[in-house]
Amino acid sequence: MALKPITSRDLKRSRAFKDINMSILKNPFTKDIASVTNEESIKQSIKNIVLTAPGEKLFNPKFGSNVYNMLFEPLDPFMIDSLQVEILNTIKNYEKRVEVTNLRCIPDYDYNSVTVSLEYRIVGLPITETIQFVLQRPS
Amino acid sequence: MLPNNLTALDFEDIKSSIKTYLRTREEFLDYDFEGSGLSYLIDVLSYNTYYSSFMANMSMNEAFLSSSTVRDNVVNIAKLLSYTPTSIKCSKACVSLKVQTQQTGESYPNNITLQKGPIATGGNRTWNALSPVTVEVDQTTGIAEFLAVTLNQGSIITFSYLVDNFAKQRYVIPAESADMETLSVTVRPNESSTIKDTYNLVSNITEVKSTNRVYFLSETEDERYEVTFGDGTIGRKLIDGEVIEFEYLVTEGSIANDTSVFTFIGKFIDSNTVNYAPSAAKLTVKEKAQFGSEAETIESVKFNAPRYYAAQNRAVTTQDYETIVKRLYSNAKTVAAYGGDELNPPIYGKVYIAIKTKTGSSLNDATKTSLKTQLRSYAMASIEPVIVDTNTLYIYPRIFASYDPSTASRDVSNITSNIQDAVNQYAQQSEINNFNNNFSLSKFQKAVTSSDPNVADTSTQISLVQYVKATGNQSNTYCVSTGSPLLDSAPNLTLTTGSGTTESENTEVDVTITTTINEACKKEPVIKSGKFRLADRPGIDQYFEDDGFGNLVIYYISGNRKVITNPKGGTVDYNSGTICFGPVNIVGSGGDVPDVNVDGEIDSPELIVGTDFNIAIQSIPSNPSIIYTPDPGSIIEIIVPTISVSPLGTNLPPTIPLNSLTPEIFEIVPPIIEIPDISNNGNLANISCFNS
Repeated sequence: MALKPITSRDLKRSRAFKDINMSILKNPFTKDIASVTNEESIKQSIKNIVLTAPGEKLFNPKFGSNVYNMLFEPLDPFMIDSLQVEILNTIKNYEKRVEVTNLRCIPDYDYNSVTVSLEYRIVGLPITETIQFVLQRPS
Repeated sequence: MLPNNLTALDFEDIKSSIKTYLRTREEFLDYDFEGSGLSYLIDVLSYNTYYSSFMANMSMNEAFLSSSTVRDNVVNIAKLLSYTPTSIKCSKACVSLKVQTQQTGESYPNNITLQKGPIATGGNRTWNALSPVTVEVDQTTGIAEFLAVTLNQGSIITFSYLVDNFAKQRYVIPAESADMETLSVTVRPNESSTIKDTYNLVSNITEVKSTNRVYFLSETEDERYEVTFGDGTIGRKLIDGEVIEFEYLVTEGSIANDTSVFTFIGKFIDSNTVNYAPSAAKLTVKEKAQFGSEAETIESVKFNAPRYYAAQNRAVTTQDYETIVKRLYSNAKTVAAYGGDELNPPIYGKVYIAIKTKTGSSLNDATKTSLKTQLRSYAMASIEPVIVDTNTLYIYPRIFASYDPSTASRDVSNITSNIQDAVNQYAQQSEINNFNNNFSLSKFQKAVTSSDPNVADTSTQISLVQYVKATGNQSNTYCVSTGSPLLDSAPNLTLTTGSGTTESENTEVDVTITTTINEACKKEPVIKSGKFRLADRPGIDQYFEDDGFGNLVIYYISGNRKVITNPKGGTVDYNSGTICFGPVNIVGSGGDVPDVNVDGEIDSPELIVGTDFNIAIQSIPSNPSIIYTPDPGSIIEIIVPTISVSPLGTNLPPTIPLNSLTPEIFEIVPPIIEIPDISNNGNLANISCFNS
């Protein structure tokens, strides 16, 4: 008998997470704003934190990461290393719901961009999620 | 559920209020995570609320005089109360000039005129005469003497407007640092005319007619002043085509004060139309530059405007007198008015006004009379205003502080300067030098103890210093009162029989003999005077002190002995603190002593008549914890304290300064703790040089 794969939906949670969808979409059934829940909500939060520059969040000048500023540095292995450290520190400081298990920053020299691939574990749950996004200097 | 904290003005409070609201809802849950989209949304909402509430709060604050902070708003509210803040004031100096005129046809000119405009330089600034000054020339020597010329620091500026009633015109003085006391407003009928009408400033419209040449002054934006003319009903209305000319001094204010060296650069022209170069004049400085001040501060406007309005141009309550006197006499630093019924014995039908001047000097009789006359038009018919001199009660604190050498990280001089700063702050915060303010030793000591973390213990000796103002070569009794009881140095000792043997007037008795007669009656003096000279012994410095039983003993020092010349030279009422010295005939005090010939007589007694002599009296109060002003017309000043600092373990001296009164150091009025005034404007009225 094949075992049914375990997903986060099958786990009993002590706490649920629910956030507005940053795409600001409309829920076609409720006609209300769309929401994201649980691991999706955490994923969205991590992305928000990494892509927020310090000073951008009102009255919280230290919040966020410096990755956007770093994109203006020459793209070399040292910068990639710094970028990784910066992302790790930011998530460690501002997103307590996760533990990062793996982080890879892959430079694309042709397009002057960095693909960030982040693997993390949600604290208290045996679930590992991944998130991937591209950092590119705004043209 | 509604947000629970509607009064929150802080961003975090507003945010927390929104989160509290969201906690009661089930739609979203991630508001506590700073990275969530909801958190960003809450931030925006909070920021918007914060901004709106700040704006509302700011707008409402600025709408009221007591809470507004922006000068233009304060001034606008004060304008509704008919109050015009005083402008920057130029520094003024007084000089005399001597010019040797030239003969024309073997005769000297009849007179010579110092022309208006820049007449001197000093301190890298220009000093002006605001109007031409003409004096007669001595026909024998040809010398013309300008006894008192007032120099005004700044640059004379003229500015004109062409009247155009069709357009809505505002006549603004286009300079921020223009001294409005020097403003002269003239109007010419047209641009080509040379005839000028002078317009006068009015602040009260009750007596202004439709044809009077008057203008009104008010402060407008950016510390500039605006001139408004009549409307044809109250004051003459200006006609199209007329030309308004403003002439005023743009000055640097108080920066130019204390300039005392001037070089003459003015121009003279005599009655024979001969011009003279600046080198023809010899300049002598009579009064160094003073009275320059900055524009009235926001605090001062907020303080004065409502009081000025409350007085309503009439003096009924004592506060009205205080406000109006400040307005009439801008050299008044603080003013106290009190009814004669408050005096002992009461004097009905009079209101007494004591004025403390900014320059520290007393008002002369001419100023007092002038003020009294001006006040008559404000006062009620049956009330007579009386201007009196301010009595000053000086408090001399001697501070002894100990410090812990093991913890003291700094040197002793730092502790001393910190204590000095703390005393200054105490004096400023309690505004000790204002009328009706009392001295509190506990607050004073609290300030001293908390002045420096290394101060372990403090002990303060308090004594009082007053001055008897004696008139020379007249037999008088002079009384001063401390207003509070004086110390009894030995309450258990009473006067016993036997001391009467020494009580004949003008009998010299060696004090050593007296004490052997009645040792039990000896009390340590709590009142001591500085030195003075009496007509009976004009060549000898004498002093007085109290005997502890209500008498003042006059003596002089011979070697190391006190020689009593009058054991009853005055009386002391220890309960009321009244010290009466006399009858005595004073001919000198301190270092101001008469010349005495070989016979021990005064060389020129007529020179002493009418001279005022100050005699310092130092006394010990019975209760130094709180010292009240002796009467409503008195003020308390704190003499710069003597501070002694010693390491912990040294015995601090007792708090009562018995045996350590030092009136000799107060023969010249000592330096006191200066407390800055909220508005610092000057006036020339009580310096004779500026009046002539």
